[in-house]
Amino acid sequence: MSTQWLGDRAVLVTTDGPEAREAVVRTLLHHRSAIGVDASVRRGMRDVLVEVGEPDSRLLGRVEDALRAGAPTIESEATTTDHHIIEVRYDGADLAAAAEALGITSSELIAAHGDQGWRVAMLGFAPGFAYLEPVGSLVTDWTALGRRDSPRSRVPEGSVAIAAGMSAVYPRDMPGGWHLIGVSAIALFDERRTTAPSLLSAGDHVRFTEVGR
Amino acid sequence: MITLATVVEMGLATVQDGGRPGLADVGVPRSGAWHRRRYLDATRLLRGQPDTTVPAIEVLAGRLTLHWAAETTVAVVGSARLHLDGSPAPVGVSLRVGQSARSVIEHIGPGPVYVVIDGWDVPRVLGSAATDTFSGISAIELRPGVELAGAARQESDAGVFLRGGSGHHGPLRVVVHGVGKDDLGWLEGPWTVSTTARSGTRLSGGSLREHGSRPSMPVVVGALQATPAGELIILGPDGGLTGGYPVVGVVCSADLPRVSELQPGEEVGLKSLDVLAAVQAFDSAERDRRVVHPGVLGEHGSRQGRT
Repeated sequence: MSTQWLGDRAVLVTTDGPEAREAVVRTLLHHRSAIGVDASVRRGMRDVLVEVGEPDSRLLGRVEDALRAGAPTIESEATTTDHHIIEVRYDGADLAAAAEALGITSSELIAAHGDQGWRVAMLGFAPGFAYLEPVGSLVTDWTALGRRDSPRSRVPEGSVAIAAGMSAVYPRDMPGGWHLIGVSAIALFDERRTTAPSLLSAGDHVRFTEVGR
Repeated sequence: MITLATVVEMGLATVQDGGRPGLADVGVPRSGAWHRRRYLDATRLLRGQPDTTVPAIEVLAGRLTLHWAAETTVAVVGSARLHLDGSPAPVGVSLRVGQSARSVIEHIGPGPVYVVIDGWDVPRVLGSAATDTFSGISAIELRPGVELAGAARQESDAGVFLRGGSGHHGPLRVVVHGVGKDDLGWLEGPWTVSTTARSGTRLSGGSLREHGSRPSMPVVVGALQATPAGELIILGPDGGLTGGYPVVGVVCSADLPRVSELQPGEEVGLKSLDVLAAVQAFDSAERDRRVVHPGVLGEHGSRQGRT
């Protein structure tokens, strides 16, 4: 694990991988008020970013103090992880090609996508766009499939996609380079939900289930 | 609510304020005023202190013509020519405008021009009136014919003006990061601005070649991403929140407003700055800003206005 400045009002904590990253997030959230009243904690694939509103030369020291102090074990704190089930109609334009690239059949891909547990690693790219990483044992080697050679200029809202070891649901019509395997009717982002505009938050767990066949 | 003004004509302009900080974890960029110092100066002229809740029109190019439907106070901050009913009027000062007056704000540049209007009320989306050009989140879309509505009774003084230095000049100061720390030679470039946008500013010409990508990491406004093609992208307020390109540095907060002043074709110098110096640079730039009420100027103009 390493900590370093990212500019003058953010500190990046880089870890070995998702499990270590989650432990760092728990620790930093536990000490958030000591780090800064407006401190925000964001995840990357293996990084955690702590950002404050205005430059502060003591931020790095406070983050390192928090990491040294650690946090209570997970059993002793209220766990706020949400679990979501997303219904999918697996009729995406890239289903067959994606299955072939993974070395399995289309129906095996559908089964694998539903059997795999997923966790929201981070959000970005567009409001409500959640990068889902496999959690638990791998049902298939998702990393065997990269991104499409050429991104689509428009991917329809609700498209369920996989690429580069991850899965995602497009929260709205937007460009995208992931392989489309299905579609969901779930509303991922609504700016009118002012307290929780995004259905998915970093750290949430997601399961996909097949409908409409 | 009454109509304060109608947009008669406009170039490239959006509504901005302090933006949407703290929503990055649900994929919403901060957005908000690109040249934060000018924007905050404009709000100082109306409120006597910086106020990130005041909506402003951010003009990036062209002309903004407003037809006034009610008496109010307006302030224009930035490089612009202002005409009120055909007569030149000063920028950087709060001005009274009367009913049926016409104001023409001509963007000269470089950088954004901010127009704030006392009493103007804009609906908020996720707590902000800001127009996010990348995410498509916006409270109102400005176009000719749009009416700016708000409160009939306003309280701002007219004649309030700004005092303070014009800020730092010279190279953009950067807190180097990651592989950017290994060898500082890449800072020397020479870098030339190729494109500018609220989502990001591209610099090209330097010899930096970063072919590696890394697992996507969270990024911040001002981050310098090195692309495999040898370009640098300086992330803007509507920019991405995560990125797989290596980040080689971050423009220090004090110099972030200057990124919005860059113009295509311009050569940009970059210089390394440590975090402590970056924090000091920000603090002194902020301390520098104040507004002056005409009534409180001393004999030699030496008394400070309220800040």
